Amino acid sequence: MAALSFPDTEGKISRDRDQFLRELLRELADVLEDRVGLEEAKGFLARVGARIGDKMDAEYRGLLDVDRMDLEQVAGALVDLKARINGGFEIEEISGDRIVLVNSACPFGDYVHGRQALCMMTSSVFGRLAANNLDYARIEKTETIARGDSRCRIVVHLTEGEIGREYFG
Amino acid sequence: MAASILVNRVGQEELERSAFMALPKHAILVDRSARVCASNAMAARLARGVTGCSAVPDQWGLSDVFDISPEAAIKEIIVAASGGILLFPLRDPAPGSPSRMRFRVSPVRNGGAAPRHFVLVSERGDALGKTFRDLNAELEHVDAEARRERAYRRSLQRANEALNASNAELKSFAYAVSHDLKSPVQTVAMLLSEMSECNEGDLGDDVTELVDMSRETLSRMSVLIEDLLRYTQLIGTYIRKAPCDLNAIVDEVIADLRAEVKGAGATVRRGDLPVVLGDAVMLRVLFQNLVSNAVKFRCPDRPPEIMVESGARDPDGRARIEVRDNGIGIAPEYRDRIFELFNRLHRHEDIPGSGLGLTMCRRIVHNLKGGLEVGENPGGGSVFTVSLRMPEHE
Repeated sequence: MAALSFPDTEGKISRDRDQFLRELLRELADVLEDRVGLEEAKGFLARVGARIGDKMDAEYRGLLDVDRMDLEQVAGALVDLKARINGGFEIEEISGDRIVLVNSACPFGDYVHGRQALCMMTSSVFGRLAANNLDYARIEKTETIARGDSRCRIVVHLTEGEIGREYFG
Repeated sequence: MAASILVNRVGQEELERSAFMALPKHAILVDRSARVCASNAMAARLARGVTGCSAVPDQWGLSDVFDISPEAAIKEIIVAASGGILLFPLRDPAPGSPSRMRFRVSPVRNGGAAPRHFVLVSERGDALGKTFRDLNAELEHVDAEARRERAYRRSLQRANEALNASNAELKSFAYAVSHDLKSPVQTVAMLLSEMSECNEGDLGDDVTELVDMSRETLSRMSVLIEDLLRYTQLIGTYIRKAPCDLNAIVDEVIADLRAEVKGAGATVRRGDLPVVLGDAVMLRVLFQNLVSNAVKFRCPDRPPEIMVESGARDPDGRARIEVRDNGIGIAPEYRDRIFELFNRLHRHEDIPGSGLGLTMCRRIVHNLKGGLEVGENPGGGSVFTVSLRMPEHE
């Protein structure tokens, strides 16, 4: 087979599999937002997040060998999940009413700027995981990197209320 | 009984009068097993239509009406309760009717515990459907455009192929004719020479003059055939272009024409010329014809002065080279005609030539994607302006 005369891209193009997939997701969110609008795009991505949340929930339950995770286990699972995908969340507060998580980096990296629909993906994973185990969750994003804040602050409410998106177990 | 939740809260009669029942949409109250606990008139009509029962069964589930298992249905309902839209495929939809139904889902609140009941209300509009229909229409339009473009390209390609074939045929025909003419002309010229030599002194003055005239005519015909052969070789020829230094080419032309120039008492000068994109042999033929014409079409009352120099670039950025002379000039009404095949403005006896030189020049610049024009030299005579592409155009 003849050798291709193509310049060496080593060190010149940084795109690896991870970056490629993040770019892909960002472009997908872009197309959705531009074509069907933010609200509908959020709906699509929420469903994707819900499916992933269900899968991860089953995984954590299997690992812990429980039928349902309790409050602390849910909080631990959320932090573990985000650490695995470079989201780096920390628990700011945990109580019977709510779990508050904060981070200073987004799993989608720079690609999240200006694309709040992508946040829906993460928050619906959180919501699904919490609601599946604690019957109800309401996700409120008080700060997000996507809309220009320096960090994300996610409040997982466990009681009914007006603010945020609700998830039912 | 799940319906009792609503009944207990609002009472049977109130339920009958409630917005739930009065909704002009399909409204269904379901439990976590996807069993229907209550339905309004529209939903009941739908159930009757799909199940084929004249009365709504006391116990019916979503799976009786929609093509989805109870487990999958409740999973979808729970996810959609967060605010999304639910799409359920209908069992045996009537031809022409929608195959799916859209619902908004609300949980019957249970103080933070997992809801045991959900209210499904159908959605008439299909906002996303419209978006996708628009997208599809856009795609179809683009596809149709691409199809038209492809068809156009194909027809253009076919026309080009036909034209190329026709050109090639024409070229080989012209070549064959001129080539086959060359041989008999040479033979007749040779026979006339033989006749003169064998009968030297016996032919008489009149016959000798006729023989000489015939030989002269044959000589002209020979030149004409040679030029014709050269011209046919230029038609439809693809020229591999390369940067060519016109200074060197024009110097060679002047050297080749030294005898002609000297004989006419002419002066040929050259300015600084650019490097152009072309073929050195073609460019040499081009400038040889132009300089030779400038010497030939001279004014009888002054020695020819010819200047080959570079002018300002043309609007397309091509180099412009001017060949100026102080000769007899060309009247404006004849300037187009001089480039036509076999067109001559003068009798052969006055100025010899085949009438093909400028036709060949125009063909060469055409092949090089250039231009050739003639104008009046302000000091008298003509200016031939050649436009040629430069290496940066490649």
